[in-house]
Amino acid sequence: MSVNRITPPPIDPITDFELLDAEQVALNNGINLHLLPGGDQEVISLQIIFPAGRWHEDKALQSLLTSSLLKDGTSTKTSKEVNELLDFYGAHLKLSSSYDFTNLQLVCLNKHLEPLLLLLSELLDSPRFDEEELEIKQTNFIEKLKINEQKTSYLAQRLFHEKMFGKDHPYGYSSDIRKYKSITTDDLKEFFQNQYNIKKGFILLSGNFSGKVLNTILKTLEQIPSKSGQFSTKTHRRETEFGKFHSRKENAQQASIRIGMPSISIQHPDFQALHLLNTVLGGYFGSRLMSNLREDKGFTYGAYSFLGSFLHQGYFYAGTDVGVAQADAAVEEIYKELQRLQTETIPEDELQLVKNYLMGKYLAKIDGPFSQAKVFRSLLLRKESTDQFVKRVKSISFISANRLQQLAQQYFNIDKMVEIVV
Amino acid sequence: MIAFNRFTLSNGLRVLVHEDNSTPFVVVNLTYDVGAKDEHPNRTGFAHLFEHLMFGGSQHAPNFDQPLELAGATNNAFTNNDITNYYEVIPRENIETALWLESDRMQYLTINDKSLSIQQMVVIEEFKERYLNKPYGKTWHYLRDLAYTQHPYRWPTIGLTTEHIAEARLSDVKQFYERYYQPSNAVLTLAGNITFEEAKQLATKWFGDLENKHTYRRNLVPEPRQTEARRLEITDEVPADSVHIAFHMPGRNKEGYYECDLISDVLGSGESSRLQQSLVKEKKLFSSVDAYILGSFENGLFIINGRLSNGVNKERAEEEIWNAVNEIKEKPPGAKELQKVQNKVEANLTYQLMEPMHKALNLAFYEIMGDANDVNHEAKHYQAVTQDSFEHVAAELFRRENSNTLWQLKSNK
Repeated sequence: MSVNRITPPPIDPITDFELLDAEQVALNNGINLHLLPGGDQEVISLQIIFPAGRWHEDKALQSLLTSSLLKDGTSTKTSKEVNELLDFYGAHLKLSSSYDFTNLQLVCLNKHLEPLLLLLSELLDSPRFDEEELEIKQTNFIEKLKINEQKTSYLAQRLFHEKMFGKDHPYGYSSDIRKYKSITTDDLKEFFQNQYNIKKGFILLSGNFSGKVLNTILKTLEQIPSKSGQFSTKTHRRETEFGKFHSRKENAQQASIRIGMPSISIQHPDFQALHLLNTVLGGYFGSRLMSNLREDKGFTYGAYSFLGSFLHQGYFYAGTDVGVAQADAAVEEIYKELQRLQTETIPEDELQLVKNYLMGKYLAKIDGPFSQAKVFRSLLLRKESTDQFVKRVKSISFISANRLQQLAQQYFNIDKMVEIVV
Repeated sequence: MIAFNRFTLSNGLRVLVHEDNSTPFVVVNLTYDVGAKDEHPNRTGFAHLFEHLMFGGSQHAPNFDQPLELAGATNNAFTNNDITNYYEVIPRENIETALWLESDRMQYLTINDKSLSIQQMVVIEEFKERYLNKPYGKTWHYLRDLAYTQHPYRWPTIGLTTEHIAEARLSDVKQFYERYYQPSNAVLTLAGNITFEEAKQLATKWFGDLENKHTYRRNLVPEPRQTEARRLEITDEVPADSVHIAFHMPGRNKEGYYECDLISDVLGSGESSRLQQSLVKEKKLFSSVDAYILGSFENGLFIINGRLSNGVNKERAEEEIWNAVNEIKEKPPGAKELQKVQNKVEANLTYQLMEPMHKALNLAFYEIMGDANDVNHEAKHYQAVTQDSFEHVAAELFRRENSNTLWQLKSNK
C-alpha cells in the first residue's frame, strides 16, 4: 500500500531548550577555567580568550599581527621547530584575533596532550616576535590584501565599516599597506605584554577528558605567569557617516550592495526581537530578501541581512551581489522590503515558521561540547548568564507581529542609511 | 570507527544507519550517484543547475523549504564532479518531514519553465560571483582543461561557460531526472538520534513505494596516459603571478592514493612542510605555497600551487618547485617525517568522527564508491604506507611528462 503523501507529517515545534552551566574552577593564580565535558572521541579543545582585539589596540593592526606571530618561535625554539612539533602531533593551534578579543585554541588527541601543553606554556611565556618572521607575515598579508581589493564584495564591506563606525574606529578602519608596514616587533611585544593577560580573560576546556587529563592541564595553567604590563581599557566613539556612496570598479561583472545603519547591541532588551525581525527579512533561505531578489527575480545567488553585535556596539545591514545592470533595481527592492516591515504586520504563519526555524538554529548551536564551548565563550564575553540566555531564547515564541512592526518603525530609519554600491 | 547498519529496499535504494543518541538531531543525507562527469560536453554545469531545480517543489509538497524551516531543520546541497548530495539536519521528532520531502522529490519533482529560467539566472549570477568577479576565479577552468583531454573531469562543476547554462531546455531537465534520479542510483544515510529499527520502518514507509524506472550504467571515456609535459601561460587580471602544477594520480581507493595524500602532506600541508619552509620562509620566492590532492573518485590530480613574491623570476621559482619535488624522490622522508604525516592523518580522521554530518557523508561517499565499510579501513591504509612505497609512488608521480603547468600572470598595465 502506498503512503499518504498529500497530508504532510505532523510537526512538533521545539520547546525543550536546556543548557547546563559549565563547571567553573578558579586556579590559584587567579585564572578562571570553565569545563564542558562531552563527546565520545579522545579529543579535547582548549581555548584561551584574551581581551586583545582591535578594540584594545594602540596602533592599527597590532592585534592581528601579534596573534599571527605568536606561534613563530620562543626563546628556545625557532618558528620551524614550533610548527614541526605541532604538526608532528597532528594538533591544531589556532590563533584568531577579532574586533573584541583574541582566541587561542588547541585541538588535539588526548594522548599527545603533555608535550603540547609544554609548548603552549612556552609560547605564552616567551614568544620570540622575530624581525624576519614579521616581514614575511607583512608581505603575505599585503599579497592577500591585493587579491581582496579586486573583489567588489570586499570593497563594499570595507567601505561600509568605514562609514558605519568611522575610519579610525577599531570596528571601522581598513587594513592597508601603510598600516601593515608600520607595525614593528616592539609593537607586538608591547601589545602582548599588556593585553595577553590571562587573568583578564578566561579559559574553556571542552571534549572528552578524564580526571588525569584535567590534572595535567591544571598543573600547566597554574604555571602561566601573570603579566606585568599595563592592561588597557579603552572607549571608542562611533561616528557614522550617513549617505549614498557609490563607486565603480572597472570590468566588474557584479555590483556589491550594502545598506545599513547603527543598531542596538546584544545586551539591549529589544535585541532578541529585533534579531527575529532580521531573520524574517534576510536571515534564512526562505527570507523575504532571498524570495524577492533570488527566487522571484533571479538577480543574485544570495541576498541576506545581518544584525551584528560587537561587544560594545551593534549594527545592521542588508547585502547582496547582483549583476551590474540590476544594481539600481536591487537597491530599490531592499528599501521596499524594509518599508513593508514597517507598514504591514508579518502574517502569523510566516512568523511561526521563522520562530520554529530560529529555535532549531539555537538547538543546533548547543549540540555537542565544541559547539557549546562557542556559545559559552560569547556568554562569558558579554557577561550573560546561562539562565538569561535560555530565557532569552525561549522568549522568541512570545514575540508578537505587532511588536515586530513597531520595532521596524523604531529601528529602521529608511531616510538615514549608509548605502554602499561598488 | 563509524559503526553502522544497512539494508536495501526492493527498488534498489541503499540505506545506511549510524546511531548516535548524544545529539537531538538526525542527519538525513541523500547522495545521488551523478555529478558533473556525467554531463554532455555541450551542456556542462547541468548537474549543478539541476540541483537548484530540486528545491522548486514536488507534486505533493509544492514548497520544499518551508516545511523544513517549520520543523526547525537546516538543509542544503552540493554538487561536485562525482556526486550530488542533499541533506537535512532535523530535530529527531520531525524526521518524517525530511523523509516525506526527499522521497517526494526523488519521484514527483515538478519542473516548469518559470522555475527553470529563474534558476538559470541564479546560477549565472553564482558563476559570476564565484568564478568571474574575482581574481583567480577561473583557475580550475584552465587547469582542468589542460590536465584532462578526454575524461569529463576536464570541466568544473559550475560548467564551462555561462552559455551552457543559459541553453539548457526543459526537455534536457526531464531526461536528466529520469536517468539519474532513481532509487537504485542513490544512497540514503541516516545518522544521529535514531535506532536501526525506526530507520528501517520509516525509510521503507517513505521510499519503499517509489518505482525504479531506470538503472544507470556509467560508461566514461578514460583519460589516456599523459606522455608529454603540457603548459599554459595566460595574462589575467590578477594581483600576483600564480603557478599551478598538476600531476595525474590514482583515484580514491586505488593503489597509490594514500601515498599521494601523504606526499602532499610532506610537501605542502602545514607550516612545517617542506615547500612552506624552503620556498616561502627560507628562499622567500613565494608568498604562499600549497600541495594537495583532489579526492576524485576516478583518475585524480596532485596539485602544487604557489603565488610568486614580488619581483621574483618565474623560471627560477618554477625550477625551485621541481628541485623540492625531485628532492622527495632522492631524499624521501625518514621514519620521523613519515610518522609526522601519519599522526596528522590519524588526528584528522578522529576529529571528523566528532561531526554526525561528516560521518554521514563519509559513509555515503564510500558506499557510492563501492562499500561503506571501507571508511573504517582508511586509517589502516595510511598506516600501511612505508618509506619504500612512498618513494616508489613519488617517482611515478613527479615525472616531467606527467606535469601540467599553468601560469596566471598579472598584466603590466
